[in-house]
Amino acid sequence: MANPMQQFEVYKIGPSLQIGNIDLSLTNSSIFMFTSAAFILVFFFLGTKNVSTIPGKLQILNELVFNFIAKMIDETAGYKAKNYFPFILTLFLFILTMNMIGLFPYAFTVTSQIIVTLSFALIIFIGVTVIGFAKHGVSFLKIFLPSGIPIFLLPLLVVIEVISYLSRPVSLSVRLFANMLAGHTMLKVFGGFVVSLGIIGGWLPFSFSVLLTALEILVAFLQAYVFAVLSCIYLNDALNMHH
Amino acid sequence: MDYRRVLYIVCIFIIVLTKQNILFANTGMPQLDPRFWLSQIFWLTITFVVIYFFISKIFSPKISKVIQDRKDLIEKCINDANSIKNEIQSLDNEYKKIIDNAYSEARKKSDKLKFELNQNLNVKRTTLEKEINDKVKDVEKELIIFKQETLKNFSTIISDISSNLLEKLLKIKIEKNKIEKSVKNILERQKNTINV
Repeated sequence: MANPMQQFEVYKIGPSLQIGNIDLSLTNSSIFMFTSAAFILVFFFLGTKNVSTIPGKLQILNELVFNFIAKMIDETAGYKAKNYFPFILTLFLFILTMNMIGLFPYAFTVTSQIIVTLSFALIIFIGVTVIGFAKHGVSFLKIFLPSGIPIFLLPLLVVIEVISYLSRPVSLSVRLFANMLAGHTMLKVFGGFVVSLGIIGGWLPFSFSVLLTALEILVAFLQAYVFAVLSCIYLNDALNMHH
Repeated sequence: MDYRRVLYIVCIFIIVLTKQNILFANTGMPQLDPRFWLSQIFWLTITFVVIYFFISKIFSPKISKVIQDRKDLIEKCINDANSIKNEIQSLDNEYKKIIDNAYSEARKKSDKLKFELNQNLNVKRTTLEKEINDKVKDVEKELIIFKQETLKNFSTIISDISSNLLEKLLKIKIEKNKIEKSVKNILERQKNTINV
C-alpha cells in the first residue's frame, strides 16, 4: 500500500527559480494555488460579466457568497470591519477553493501544508495586532486585562491572556492543517483498502470512502468558514476591544 | 520583564519545534520539510494579493453596486407603489365625496319635491274640503227648506190621514176643518212642551 503521507509531498515543477540563496521555484503546491486563484477569478469574472438587477445563475451565486460573507462580518465584527470585507472574502474563498480542489482525485491540497495555514494565520495575527495598536494606541494592551477581576488574580490572568493571544495563530493554522491532513490521510487509507481488497471485499471501504468524501466536503467548507469567522472575531477584538 | 520572558519562551518553543520539524519530516510528514516553505509563502502571497486586488478593485464594487442598485430599485418601486396607493386612496375619497354629494343633492331634491307635493296636496285638499263644505251647506239648506215645507203641510197630511182612518175604521165622518183645528192644537201643545 502506498504511503498515505506521500500525497502531501511538495515537489518542484518546471525550471528552478532562485533569488540569491532562496529557492522560489514553482511547485505542485503553487500550481494548485494558481488553479484555485484562477477558479475564483473565473467564477467572479463570469458572474459579473453582464451584471443586471435581475441576476443570472452565476451572478446569483456570486451575490450569495458576497452576502454570506458580508452578513458574517456584520454579525461578528460589526460595521467598523466593513473596510476589511474584501480581505475576508478573499481569505474565505481562497481557503474554500483550495480545500475543495484538494478533494479531487490526484489533486494536491494546498491547505494541508502547515506553512500555508501558518502564513494565513500569521498575516491575520500581525494584521490584527497592527490594526489594534493603530486604532487604540497603547491602550490596546488593555485587551489583556479582563474587567471585573480581583486584583490578586490579575497577574495570573494577564499571563493567561497573553499566552492565549499568542497562541491564536498556532490554533488557527493547526486547526485547518490538521483537519485537511486527517481527512485526506483517511481517504487515502480507505482508498488503499479498496485496492488491496479488490472487487470481492473492496466495496465496504469503498462505501466508507464515499461517505468520507461527503464528510470531507462538509469539513472543507466548515474549516474555511471557521477560519474566516475566527479572523472576524480577532478583527472585532482589535476594532472594538470588547473584553 | 514578563514580556521578555514570554519572548524567550516563544523563541525556545519555535527552536524546539523547528528541530522537531526536521525530525518529523524525515520520519514521514512532508509538510514539515522546510525546503519549499519559502517558495510556498512567496507564491501564496502573490496569489493572494492578485485575488485580493481583483476582488477589492473590480468584482466587489461591481457586485455591491448591483446589489445597491437593486435595493434602490426595490425601494423606488415600493415608493411608487405607495404613491399610487395614496393616489388611489385620494381618488377613492374623491369618488366617495362625489357619491355623498350626489346622495345629499338627491335627498334635497326629493325632500323639495315632497314638500311641493305636500303643499299642492294641502291646497287641493283645502279647496276640496271647501267645495264639500259648500255643497254640504247647500244640501243642509235644501233640507231645512224641505223640512219647513214638510212641516207646513204636516197638519194637512195628518188631518187627511186621521179623517180617512176615522172614516174607515169607525165609519164616522168628521169635518175636515175640525180635524185640522184639533191637529193644529195638538201640534201646538207638543211644540210648547218641547220648547218648555
